[in-house]
Amino acid sequence: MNTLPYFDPALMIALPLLAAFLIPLLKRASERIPKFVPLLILGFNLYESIALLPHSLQKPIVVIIAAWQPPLGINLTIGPLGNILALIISLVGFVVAVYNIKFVLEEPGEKYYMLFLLMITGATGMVLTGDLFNLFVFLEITSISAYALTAFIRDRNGAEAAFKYLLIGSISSTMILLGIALIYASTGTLNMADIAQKIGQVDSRITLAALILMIVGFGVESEIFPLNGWAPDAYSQAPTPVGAVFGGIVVKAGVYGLARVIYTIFSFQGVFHFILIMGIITLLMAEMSALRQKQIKRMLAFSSIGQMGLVLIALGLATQNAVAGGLFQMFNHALIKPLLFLSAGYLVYYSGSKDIGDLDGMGKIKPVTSFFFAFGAFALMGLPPLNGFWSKLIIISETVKSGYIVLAALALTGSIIEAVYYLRVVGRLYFKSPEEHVKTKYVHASAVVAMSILAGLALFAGLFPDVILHYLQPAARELMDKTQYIQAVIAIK
Amino acid sequence: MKPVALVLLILFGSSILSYTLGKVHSLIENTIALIALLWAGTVFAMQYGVSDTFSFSMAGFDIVWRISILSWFFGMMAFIIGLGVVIYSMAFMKDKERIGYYCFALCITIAGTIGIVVSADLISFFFFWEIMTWSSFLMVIYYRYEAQKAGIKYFVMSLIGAYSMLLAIFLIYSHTHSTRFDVLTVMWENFSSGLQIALLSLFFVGFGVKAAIMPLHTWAPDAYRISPSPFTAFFSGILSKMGIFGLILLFYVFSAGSLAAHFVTVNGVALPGYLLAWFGALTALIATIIAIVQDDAKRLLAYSSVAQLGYIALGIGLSSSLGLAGAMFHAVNHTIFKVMLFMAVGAVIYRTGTYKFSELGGLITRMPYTFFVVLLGIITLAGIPPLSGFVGKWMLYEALLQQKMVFLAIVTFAASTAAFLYCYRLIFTIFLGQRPERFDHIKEVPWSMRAPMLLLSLLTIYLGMYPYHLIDLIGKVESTLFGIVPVDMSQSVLFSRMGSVNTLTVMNIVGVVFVLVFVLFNTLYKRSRKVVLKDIHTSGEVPGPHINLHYAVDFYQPFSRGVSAILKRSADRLYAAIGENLENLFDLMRYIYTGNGQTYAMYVVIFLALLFVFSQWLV
Repeated sequence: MNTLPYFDPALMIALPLLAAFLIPLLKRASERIPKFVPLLILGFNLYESIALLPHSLQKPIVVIIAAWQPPLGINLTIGPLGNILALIISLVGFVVAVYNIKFVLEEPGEKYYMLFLLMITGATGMVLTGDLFNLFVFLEITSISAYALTAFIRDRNGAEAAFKYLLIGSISSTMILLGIALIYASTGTLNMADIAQKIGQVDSRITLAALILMIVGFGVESEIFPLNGWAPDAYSQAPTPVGAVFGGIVVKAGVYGLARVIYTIFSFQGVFHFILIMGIITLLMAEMSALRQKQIKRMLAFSSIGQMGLVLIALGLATQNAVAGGLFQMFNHALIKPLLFLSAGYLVYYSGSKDIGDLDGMGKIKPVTSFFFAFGAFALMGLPPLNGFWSKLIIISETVKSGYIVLAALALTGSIIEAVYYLRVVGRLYFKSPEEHVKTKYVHASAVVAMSILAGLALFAGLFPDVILHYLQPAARELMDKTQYIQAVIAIK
Repeated sequence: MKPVALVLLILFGSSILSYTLGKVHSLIENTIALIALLWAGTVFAMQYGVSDTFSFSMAGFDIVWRISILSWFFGMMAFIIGLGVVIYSMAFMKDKERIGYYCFALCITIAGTIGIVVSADLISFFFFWEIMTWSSFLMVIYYRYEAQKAGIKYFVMSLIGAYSMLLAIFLIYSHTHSTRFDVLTVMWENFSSGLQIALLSLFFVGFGVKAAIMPLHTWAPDAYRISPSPFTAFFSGILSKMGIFGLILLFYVFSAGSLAAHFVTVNGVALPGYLLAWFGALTALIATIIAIVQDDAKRLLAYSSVAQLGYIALGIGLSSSLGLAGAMFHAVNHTIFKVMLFMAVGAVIYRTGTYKFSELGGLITRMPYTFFVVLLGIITLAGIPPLSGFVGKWMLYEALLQQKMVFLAIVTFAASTAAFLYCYRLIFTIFLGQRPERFDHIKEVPWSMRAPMLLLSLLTIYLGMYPYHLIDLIGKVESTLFGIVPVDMSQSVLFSRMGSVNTLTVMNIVGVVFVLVFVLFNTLYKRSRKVVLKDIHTSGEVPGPHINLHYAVDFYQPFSRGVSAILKRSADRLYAAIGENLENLFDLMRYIYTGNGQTYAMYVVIFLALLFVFSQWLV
């Protein structure tokens, strides 16, 4: 494979951050510039993460910031896992940026783009950093921009949802901070590789406390039941592209944090069983709650939680293949959920109502948008030859292989429930006769392009799963075998 | 390129091509589908006895495709019927909306079916199984507005079946570390009996849903009823056979049925097979009874289809050479006559726009070809000589008697006899009796609809004359693949312990008698005076509007009353009730998400506290 030239990986964080703060200035030059800034920046990030991939697959790239060697200074550690997640984040961000070109109709637009870029900065930072406290800082950047974006449509519901998110989110960050403090106090270092090396010598009661605090903290972001109360409200009240970004990016970063904590930093074995059980509970609870939701975005939010449950099951199984399957599921979900959100956003926009009941007959009026929604629903249900099929297959396969047959059966039951509620919506789109008052505006080309990219990738990943798995296996190995990660960072010394 | 891969490529490629190019002109869609089917079918047919294998690895699983003789057997059925259905659709779907969608779904379904039969590992089997499920689901929902309920029911039941199959697949995978059929054939006997029972029940649910074996059949009447008529023919003829194909795989290729050692045997049949036989027989009986009381041609045929698949399952369960041969013969018969009947009923719908018996009647003079097809169809269905239906049923009965299964035989006989009732209802209420005036000027259907029906009629006559040709093929499948001694048969004489039948003689006698009567009738008829068919039972009185004049209204009323006690219990309503109650139960979960921020914060704190309390679990 030809390697593309790449730039300093730190730019993937620095550029969006810089651009975010430049946007208000650029707006003075021209009203139209801000909407293209995220496109440019995310295009760069996308290119950069693709260009880095062959290198990080060889061995983790360690970027030293400000000439302080690890473990003293802050460093970026770009292993296959971080790189792939950065790729997913940039990809979803890019697609949403394309979609944004037309969709953000509410002013003030430039603030929206600013917050959007900040959120990308935070999420990218989270997956690339090698420093625990840095991880926390980036999580905060992500969360705070997420709170603001939730309330972006300045109405009562948005504010309420944002407040709930803020409430839960601050509890979570407090806990993470406490956990980090405990670790720092007992190991004297914040470098994740260094912590992983030294954690064995620390009193296990302290590490256990830190672990619990961090599981709860990151559990909120990765939507573990019952810590996910904020999610349905935030997803459904935020502007459509933001919902897509929540499902495609923010959750992924949260899960990454959780995976880092349980796999790399700590070495408790019981925690995997716990994650496994929480995974299945999260999955079932979410699917059951989604079944009778009246608002389409709330339904999608619960479905998103359900999918994360499946990822947690994979992480909890803690086998190489299962983790790869879980990452594949994350990848697929990052493609499909934004697709569903973006198409649902347009459907909601046309019908003028968030209720599923008002989407009757959209398939006739808006064939393209409805098609993308149906496509996403089929992909999410895991129907071949779309991408969801393989990730679900691998996870279920590994679950049965590890001997959890009942658990696999329960997860499949969840899938059946999922099929029921998705088909009901798809059914409404196509079977019912449309109502009279629906606006007949055309879908903007930017939205069609954005959705086509996602759908095309979903089909590609479904037809050639090995291409994706080729990159996911090393990423799974990075989680399973932390010595490699530690070695790469410590060797810099 | 390997022929097997080429076949799949042509089929899947054609579906996408026909959809995209079909936007240009509507004729292109059908033409592409037709060419692709002919091309792929020829390539496929030439692989007879070659056992061509193509394997690669995908997502960490071994994928093996192979055209074994069993695949060839079922694949050719799919190709022949597929071709017939495409030709039939050309006229049936003309000037209808969404032809592109229709062609796409039809092609994908055929491709999925071929994919299933050529799969030689469980993962690709499941892959194509799911493709077949969603593409046929697209077909079921073709008539959008009315179809949602039937469609979702079909899809959900299929998913339940597919997922239980998936569990079985991974149970096998976790024990053998392989999903290839040939590995499984060898490894199955090493499984513990508990595992075998689990696998058998899971697979049984998986295949039973597709084969519509009671009590997993409830999707079938609605889905058959609502899907476009040409597709219903394919649905009943081929898709349901995939369940049968799966059962054959399970019992003979995975050799689950022959391993009697682990199980109790009943009359020389291992318990799983014996149970399957009973499921099949009861399905046949109950579905037949339900079919009799239907007032809807397609529902009647749907229940009849369920019943016939019951016979086939019975034959598979018997696990004897004769039983399996009978099952496979009957499977071919069922495919032929059910496709004929569904196409004929489709033709009636095409011309009259209704499938209610009580609105039809007297179409014999208007649609004589269709009448002829239905006549031959029901003769085959009822298993009356000289057509091929007789041979299949004869073999099944004999297999039953060979194993001394008297009760099963009685149940099957009863079902088979009762089937005459609905056969009669089908042909009488549509074609005989008095014709409603509004149908006085309808014409016979176009040739592209007539041709497939008539060709299939010829096929059933041919198989009735020379069943040897098919039995020989079945014998080859049995001996090469399952190591079973095939049925004794020479040219047209079917030997058995009870005696022998020369089908050719029977056919000749019937042929001579039929032709003789036909000629005589025609000469006499020519001389007779033609009168307009009028109802004369009111003797000139003008009947009031409250008097039902149509024979087909409340047809078999005493019978319906007699069986109404049985029909009151319906598996369908039971499932609907279970679904409803479960959904209400799930609805309670929504109370967890109160929408109250404080509550959510409390959850976090409680969760944290619980974690600390049970922190030892995490170590």
